[in-house]
Parts: sequence; structure tokens; C-alpha cells
Amino acid sequence: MTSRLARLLNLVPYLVSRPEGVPLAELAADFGVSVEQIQDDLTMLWMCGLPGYGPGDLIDLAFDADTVRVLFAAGMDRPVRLAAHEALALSVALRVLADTPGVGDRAAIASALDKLAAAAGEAPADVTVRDSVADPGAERYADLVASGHAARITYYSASRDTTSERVVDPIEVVAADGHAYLRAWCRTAGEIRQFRIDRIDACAELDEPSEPLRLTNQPAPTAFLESELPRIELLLGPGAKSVTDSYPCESVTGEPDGRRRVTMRVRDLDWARRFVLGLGGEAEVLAPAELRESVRQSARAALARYAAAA
Amino acid sequence: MSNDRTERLVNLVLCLLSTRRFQTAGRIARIVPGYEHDYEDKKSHDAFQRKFERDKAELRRIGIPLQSGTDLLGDAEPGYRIARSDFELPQIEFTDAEAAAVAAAARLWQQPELQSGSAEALRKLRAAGIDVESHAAASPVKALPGAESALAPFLEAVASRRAVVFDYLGARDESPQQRRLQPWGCAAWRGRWYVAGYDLDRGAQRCFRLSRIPGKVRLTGPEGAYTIPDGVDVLAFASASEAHQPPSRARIVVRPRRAWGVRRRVDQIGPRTPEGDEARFSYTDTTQTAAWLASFGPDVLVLEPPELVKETVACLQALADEERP
Repeated sequence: MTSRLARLLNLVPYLVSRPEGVPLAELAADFGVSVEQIQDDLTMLWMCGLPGYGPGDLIDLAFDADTVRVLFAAGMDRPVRLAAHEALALSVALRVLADTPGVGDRAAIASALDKLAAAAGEAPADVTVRDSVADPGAERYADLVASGHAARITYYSASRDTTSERVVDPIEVVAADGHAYLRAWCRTAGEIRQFRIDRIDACAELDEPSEPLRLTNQPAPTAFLESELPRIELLLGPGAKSVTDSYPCESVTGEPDGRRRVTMRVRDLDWARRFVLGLGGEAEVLAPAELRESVRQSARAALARYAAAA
Repeated sequence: MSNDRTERLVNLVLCLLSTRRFQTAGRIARIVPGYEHDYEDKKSHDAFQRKFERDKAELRRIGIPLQSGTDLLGDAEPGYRIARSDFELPQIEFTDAEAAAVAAAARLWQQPELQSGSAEALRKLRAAGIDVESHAAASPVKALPGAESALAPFLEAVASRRAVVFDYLGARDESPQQRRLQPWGCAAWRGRWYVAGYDLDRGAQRCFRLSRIPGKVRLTGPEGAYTIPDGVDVLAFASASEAHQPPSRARIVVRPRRAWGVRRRVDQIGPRTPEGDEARFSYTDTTQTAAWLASFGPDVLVLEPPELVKETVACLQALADEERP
């Protein structure tokens, strides 16, 4: 995306701000190109300059061993102002950070935003970011991560509808999709898990260090495990189209009646039963027969209660 | 871009930056290498003018504003110059904490256009002697803003006031529908990105959720095609578009020590009976709530309101393979 022109216009002030000289390899790395490319760029700059284009008018560079410095910049002492899209990429990101609890220094984010706006040619579009994380308490878990301690948590698992206690080694808090998650090594499960913070019912910091790197001793043969997981096959109506967006599916094919035939791997069939029941009757189980039967049994048992209540 | 053109443009920038006076195209052609041509030959002169127009457009694109005008007693035709104050990055200094914030911001994006925009900005800062990346600090919290690919084109369209065309899969649409929009602005609310603007086909203000755009967003038509009304509050559009119904109250019975997910959501519980615990909560979306309650199977019995009972029973009947009434 970067044009060579933009890079050339940036190279001269870069060298001006480093009068002691810069090794070519460092220059290439900073501009994200090869040493050969930087050499070509410098050669071209050497041929550019001010009208007159005589020896005193052209950009002048000095090479010393593998280091380059600028002797005459032809008036290009400062980089070009931030273009609108550059200022916008940074300022919208800063607004996201400002709206995420537990991220850095809020006052510094606000003043950095002001300074960037001044550095851009035109005022960047106003982009509002609000309520990135709905759950209160994210900051508390940021503090837990910063403490470097393990913790004992009581966690409600929505997919299983159960609450359980476990010891975790916190890694970080992740703010995504409107929620905050504690990413941690779960000693009970023996793998990294994400715990939605509004589903953590209790949390006690332990007097022992968080050692999430335990996982390096544990090979995680994901592919092997995947193939061991039960496979289910469903027919989805139009109301359940979000399933294919939200869950990894092994295959999705269209049926003549407009429904979609989907196969996916699930952790276990009890999870799958709850999952299918929650699709509002938009899903029909094709396989395995065991799942088809358990869904039907649960629904019939529920209907019997309505019949009794009526 | 060819080597010749790049070299010509660098010289053009240096020339226009070094002059206080407006330089006419004719004078530029005489002094800047690469524009030499035969003035007497019309074809050759037309070719020069096209080349010069393309070069000016390229400079504008990378953020270099050309001023055009004539000097007081100057030439008959307008000339060009680059005002140093428009061109140069102003003096800027960051405290350590500000630099750390900018470094964290530059790492936030997953969208390629926004990643490269951030990287370019950091390179310009570095060329001014400011190395924000050396201040990057580990944070206990990682922000993951939505990675919707439509965000960058919408931001660009808003900045240049260009219309856009995209396919949209609304909450009630069976398949994506093409929409034409003059976007006014973007906002993130509860971790999701929205765009609001004037819908050219509906002839009305509309708000769209970016995650429901399955394909590419195409910018179309000229720049500056519309003006953005004053005081547009995209966030208000976004929150209004998500809350289309007033909340209703549900009354249900939950089996003892079961359906913990429902118990977590209710705000009122009791009386308790051997059959189960009576509980109440508020909801807005009947269909979604009915499907969710059905997922607890026989552990939950819905008592009120009637439309929620009806939808829940309909879900269960479909799941039980029974004929719907």
C-alpha cells in the first residue's frame, strides 16, 4: 500500500533527525523494505533536488561503512503531515482504547488524541466508541492479571448450565464483542480457556504465582482431538442462519427447500442437545440418532408440563 | 509507479516547497526535470497537461495539499505552490505515557487498510524523531475491536463524502439486499461497528450493523457528493436500531436446583414450591427468548405472557416432531 514516493519523502527527514547517521540495515528494517530497495531509494534521492539541479542544489548523502547520513536535505527537513486515513487509523484505535476498562492511562490517551488531531492536515472524522465492555469488574481482573497470581474462580458455564469451581493461571483480559473475558490456563481442564467476566460468580486471588506457561509442557494435539469429538449433522431453517457464522462447521450445503445441511464437531452430545434445543425449532437433527432422540425426549417432557399446567 | 515518475514527483515537491511564489504549469515544465516538451506542438502540450494533472492528483492522494492562485501582479494563468505549514508535520512531542498509548493503538487493528494506515503514521512520526514503539508496554488488557472489513471503506467514504454500495443482510432478510448509502459516520457500540447515513433507495436515514455486510463495500460517484447534517449522532442511531421493542416481563417456573442460566438472569424469585421456583425477568425479543427458554427443556415452564408461552411451546413442538396446531 505504501507508495515509493511516500517512502522517499519520509526518508530525507528521517535522516535529518538522525544527524549521526543510520546503518542501512536499520533504515531498511524501519521502512519495512529490503536493504537493496533502500539503496535504490537513496540513489534516486541523490538525483533529486532544487531547481538549478547543480552540485549545491541536489540532495546530498554521505555513506560511511554501512551507515548513511544526510548532508543537504533540499528543504525537506520535516516529514509530511499525517494523511487523513493515517490519522484516522490511529485516532479511532485510541478511542477504542479509551473506552476499554483497564487499558493504560486514560488522561494520556486523551492528550495523545489531541496531539494527533493537531498533527493531521484536516480534522479526522469524529468516530464515537462507547460501552465496548458492558461488564463491570473488568478492571478488577486487569489488576488480577497484573498481580501475577493464580486465582480460584467459581464460573457459570452457559453451554452446560452448571457452575463449577476451578483454579486458573491468568494470562490477560480480552475485551471483545462487547464483553470482557479472562484468558487463563485452566488447571482443571488442562488447557487455555476464556472466561466471560460477567459469568465469574466468585474469585479469590491465591498466594501462588500464575504460571500460564505450564501449557508449553503439554502438547495439544488439536487435530487428533477434533477427530475424536462426536460429529453431528443438522438441517437448519432460515432462522438459524447465524449458526454457520458463529460455529465452526465441517461442511455446509444448500438443500432444494432452502434449508442448509451442516456437519460440525461438538464437545459432547449433552452440549449438542442443549444447543439444538436453543435454536428455536429451526434445526432438525439428522445424525446421530442418539442426539435426535434426546432432543425429542427433552422437548416432549417439556410439552407434558405445559399440558399438565393447562 | 515508474522510476521516472517517482523522481519527477520528488523534484516537483521540492520545487513547489522551495518557492513562495505561485509557479505556473508552464514554468514548472521548464524547470522540473521530466516535464520537458515542445510547447509549440499542441499534442505534446496536451500530453504534458494530462501528466501534470495526474501528478497533482497523486500528491493530493498521499496528503500533500497544493495551493493554487496567482501572485498579486503575477501571471495571467494560475500557479501552484506547497505551503510549508500545510505540508510539514507540526512539531509534536509525546510524554512516555502518550507514546505508549499511540504504540498500543497502532497494534489494535486486524483490518489491513487500518494496519497500514497506522504503520504509515508511525513511520512519519519516526522520521520526525519520535519512536513511539520503543515505549510500547505490556498491558494486562487486550482490546479486540470488531474486525469488520467494511470499517475502512466506510471511514474513507465519510472522509471524502462519497456514496457507497454494499449488500446487507438485515435481521429479517432471507438473503442479502443491495443498499446505496451516503454515509455520515461510524460508531462502535457494545463491541460492534455501525454506520449511519442517508439511504438513497429508501430516501431516509438508516443505520447498518457492519457485521451484517457479507461482501465488499464499494465507493461510488464523485467526492464531496453530499454534506453531513450537523450534529449527527451515529451512536444514538445504533442504539435505537437495536432496541425496537419496549421490554416485556416474563413469569416462569424453574425446577429446583436446575436451569442455572435462567436463574442468573431473573431479577425476582419466589414463591418456591415443590414444583419449582417462580421467577420473573424482562426481555425484548420474544422469538429469541422463547428459543433460549426452550433450550432448558423440562426444567423451565413459561407462565406469562401468553405470546412467550405460545412461542416457547411452538419451538418445543417443532423439536418434538409434533404437528403444529
